[in-house]
Amino acid sequence: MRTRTVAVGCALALLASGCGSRLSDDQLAAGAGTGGPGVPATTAPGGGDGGEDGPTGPMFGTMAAPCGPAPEGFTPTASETGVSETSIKIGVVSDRAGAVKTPTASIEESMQAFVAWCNDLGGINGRTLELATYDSQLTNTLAAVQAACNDGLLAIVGSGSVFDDLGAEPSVACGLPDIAAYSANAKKSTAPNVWAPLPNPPQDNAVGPARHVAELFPDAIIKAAIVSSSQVPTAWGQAERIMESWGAVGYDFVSVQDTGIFQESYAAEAREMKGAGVRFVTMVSETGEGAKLLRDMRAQGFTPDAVIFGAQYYDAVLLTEPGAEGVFVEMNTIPFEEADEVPAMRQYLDAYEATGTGTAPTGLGVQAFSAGLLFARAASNAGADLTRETLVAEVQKIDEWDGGGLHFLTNPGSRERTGCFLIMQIKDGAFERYYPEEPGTFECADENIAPINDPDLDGSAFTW
Amino acid sequence: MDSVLTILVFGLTAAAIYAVAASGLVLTYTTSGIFNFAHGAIAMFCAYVYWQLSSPDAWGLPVPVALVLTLVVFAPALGLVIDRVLMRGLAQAPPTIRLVVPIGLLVALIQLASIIWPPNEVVASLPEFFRGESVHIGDIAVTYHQLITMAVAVVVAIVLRVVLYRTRIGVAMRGVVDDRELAALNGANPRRISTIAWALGCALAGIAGVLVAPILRLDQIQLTFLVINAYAAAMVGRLRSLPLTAVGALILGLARETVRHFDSDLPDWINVDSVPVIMLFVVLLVVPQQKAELFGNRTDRTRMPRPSLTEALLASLGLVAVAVVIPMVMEGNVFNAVGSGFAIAVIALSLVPLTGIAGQISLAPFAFAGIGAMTMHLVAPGGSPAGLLVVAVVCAVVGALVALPTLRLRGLYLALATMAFALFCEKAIYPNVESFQATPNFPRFGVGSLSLDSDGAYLVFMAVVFCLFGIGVTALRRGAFGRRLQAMKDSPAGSATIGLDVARLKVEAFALSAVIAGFGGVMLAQWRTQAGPTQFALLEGAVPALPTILLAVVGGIAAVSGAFVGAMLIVMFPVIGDTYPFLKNLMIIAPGLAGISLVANPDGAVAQVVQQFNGSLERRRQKRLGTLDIDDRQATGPGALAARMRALLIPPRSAVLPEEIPIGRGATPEQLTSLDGELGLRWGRCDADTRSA
Repeated sequence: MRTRTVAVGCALALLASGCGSRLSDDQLAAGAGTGGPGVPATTAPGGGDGGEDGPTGPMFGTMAAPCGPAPEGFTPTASETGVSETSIKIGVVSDRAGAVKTPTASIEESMQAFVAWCNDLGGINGRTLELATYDSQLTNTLAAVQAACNDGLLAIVGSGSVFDDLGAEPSVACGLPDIAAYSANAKKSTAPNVWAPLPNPPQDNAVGPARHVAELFPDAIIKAAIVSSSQVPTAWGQAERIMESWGAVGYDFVSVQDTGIFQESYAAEAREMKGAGVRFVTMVSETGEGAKLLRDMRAQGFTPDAVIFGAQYYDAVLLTEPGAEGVFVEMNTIPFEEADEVPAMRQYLDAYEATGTGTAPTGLGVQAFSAGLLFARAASNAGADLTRETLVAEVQKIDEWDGGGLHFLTNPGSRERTGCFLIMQIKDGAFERYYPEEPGTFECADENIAPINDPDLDGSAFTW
Repeated sequence: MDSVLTILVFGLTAAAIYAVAASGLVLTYTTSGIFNFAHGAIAMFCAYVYWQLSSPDAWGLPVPVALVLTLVVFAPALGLVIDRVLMRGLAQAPPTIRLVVPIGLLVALIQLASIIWPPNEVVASLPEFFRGESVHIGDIAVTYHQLITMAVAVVVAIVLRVVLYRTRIGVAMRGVVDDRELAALNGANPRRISTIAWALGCALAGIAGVLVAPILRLDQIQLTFLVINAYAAAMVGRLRSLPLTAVGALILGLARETVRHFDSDLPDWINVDSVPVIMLFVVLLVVPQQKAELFGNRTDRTRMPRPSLTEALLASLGLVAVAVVIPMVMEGNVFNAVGSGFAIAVIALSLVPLTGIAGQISLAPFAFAGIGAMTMHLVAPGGSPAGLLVVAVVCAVVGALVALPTLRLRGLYLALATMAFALFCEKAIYPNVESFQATPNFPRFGVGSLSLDSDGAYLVFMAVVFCLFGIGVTALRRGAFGRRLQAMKDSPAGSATIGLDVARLKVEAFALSAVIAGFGGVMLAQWRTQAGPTQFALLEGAVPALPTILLAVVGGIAAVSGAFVGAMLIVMFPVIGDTYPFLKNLMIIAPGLAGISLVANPDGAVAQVVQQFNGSLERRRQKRLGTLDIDDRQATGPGALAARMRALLIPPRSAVLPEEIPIGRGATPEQLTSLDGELGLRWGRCDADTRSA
């Protein structure tokens, strides 16, 4: 029966695997280090305009908290949409309801955590944040965004839906700025009203992890295989992007396994790959399907030199599978395991747990929190005259952003990708940092971005 | 050679899963005469219970204890409750209700499991039995778990065969299904047998769940759907023969494995996901149907409202007036939902002539709606009204094409065939129309300066279209064509005998229904301004079709107003849940519960309300005349409800001992009536005796 929507639910999060913006070499050198184990992100210049003369007030990680009471001489004015003298109304759209696990599960909770944290500090320049929540239910993004349009919000903040392309047009049409946790589809990431802490433009793709694995296993990558389902267009599209961009750095995909959306077994695929002499495997699918693939690869005695999965596989589901031992998983955000080394992550987790939710935090939740901070920074900079226009103008000025150390340094203002990455490995049933080794750091280089020919630029045609 | 071996081994391991899943389906059908759509959902629920009991993350009981508690205690108890609360009342229900109530159970169980074990919060995974152990056939590894599954499939088939054919209780079970009254007269107790059958059926579902969940993964949807794939296997055995079901499972397993193996050489529409659906459709067409067993002699006695054209006209004017007012008093989400409700009402209306009047059960209205929307997108992407003509033609043709091969199918078989068609659209047709798959824009109609761009205008337009179709259906219902359709519903054989062309009638009814649904699909797409396959999906999607069909039947599928009520319910439940968070869980589960409630009110909500209204008028009249007869079954209030529930779950001991009732005229009418009840009779000897006395 129909499971497409479910499965898609998942695959897409992979987009989160390549995010960021392209910084100049100088910025990279100053910020996150080039080549070799990077300079710890905790020493990065953090929140752009945040810490001009050495922060003295409350902090979020390495940056001055963008939230706080109104400074002296501040006379707030009410603007036409979503902003009153005492409050700011924002909304978050994410996939929640239903009988299936959604990759965006912890986004809403993360935004609630952010709003509570920010209001505790006094709001944004003294204005309290009010959060409206919308459930896009995997297939209902259009209606959810329309509802957000009707509610008189200043902006959508921290959103993430698997089918976010469906909401792209209405949010542009109703003039809502959208500071998203992530963008899953090209139509959304190229829409003129969307900014994200970790930009994901369709014109290029991240190949940092691919390049690193290639260095470690030069013989394996010329015998590579990719597993995905052409019945899930978004997943398949991402698989094609991987084949193109990774191909450019030396990978040869000798085996392309087009599977069903869900399968009882991947034993046949495992045998085919084994028969084709495959020595490297990657997959774009739902996390549970990844666990099944690893289970059946193990049962069939197929042990490639390396297996690497995208960021959505940073998920406890994989840890219960013995066949997952040794698998690499890419990450864009600081792993939760490093909360003790990275103050921002500790603060995020504390705020998250304070919401009392039973949903486990995810990388996309971290990105949502960072989106909240990014919004707060821009809104705070806009000062007394906070409107959609001034908000957008301020977001565009922010060219260095790491969410106080929640993730690698990016350039959200110009919406470009950064060539930074982090690889985790599953060891003894737990995620363990693999490369770069220093906790709290990412590896960054310009070469970690490969162009995509003929990208899908749907959303750039909208008028905003 | 290697590939043949591979296909054989993998096909066989898959077949074992299908066989285990299908055998429970066959058992419940054989022993209760009800096709349990919810079988997969019961399996899923049992698997969750097993997880809750056995997992170290939950209660952590030892595996054998958890297995016994799940399979010997919980599953049979669930079966008992299902039997007492639902299935007992279904034995004599009209075919549509017999089909829809288990669908309601399916929807309710999926939602209930999502509430108890929220997928985003509970990471539930069941390890395989003997994880990591395997044997090798050639160089292919087969895990112990797969071997156990195969062994269980074989053992279950043998044991069930012996039970059904070699034991007294098994023979009685089959007897009750073949002829409840006759079996009762021969000393069988239909109620007890039904209870045993459901307890056994649920235990089998539990076995399937516990065995399959570790292979498939434990979640609310996958396991439920796997059993739907197994329908094809069960149909090979005509829902009767377990050995043939095993053969069916083998064919399905091998077919899927073969398609997987040669995927790149096959056309796009043949893929691993579409194989079970294609097989189901083909099997339904090829395998002879035994009419007598498929609700053959239970005719549909659903009440048919026959409003006059004046009434229909007045109601229509009222509805259009309401549509004019709505934009002034509603906004935001509620307004959006109501708009969708109007479009969905048109789709639901398509079931009135087909199912309500002509008695042809269809689960495909949303598939026709999807084809309508897809056609509109392909021929008139700019929203030209002329596109509707093409939509009408295409939908009529597709409707007729679906009707033609299914001409000889009725009841359950027809429902399954239409379901197969709906799934085929999702898995094989839409994915091959890329621009529709990508959820394109649907600009609203406009002619010259007349534009329906504004939401208010479009809402009125939808109301007008609904009313036109509604009046049309009412007129049709009262005309010669309607009478012919009704005759076909009452007795196809009789209609054929008096010279009606039943085949043609059926094709016409399907074509008409498809056109209405197609228009509804176009309007749903235009109201949303953007639409794709997810808007027309059977179980999952923005408007899940199965629950919507369910609610249309709840509203009362024989009446135009019933379709409207059903559509409004499906869109309003989530809105109510959003507005009143404490009701959210209830609203999620509401469509399923409403479907289940049909056991008590097979005529649907609208009919029931009218009936109760008339009833209270009557009571008032009798009260005035001093002749009020208190019937406690009509009593309302929490006390009476609790008493009814208690009586349902723990039936009072029978006061009637048949051997004490005198034969012939010596018996009092009360004694005879209670004897009838005890035997499960609604008519027959006792009734005749009463009258003669």
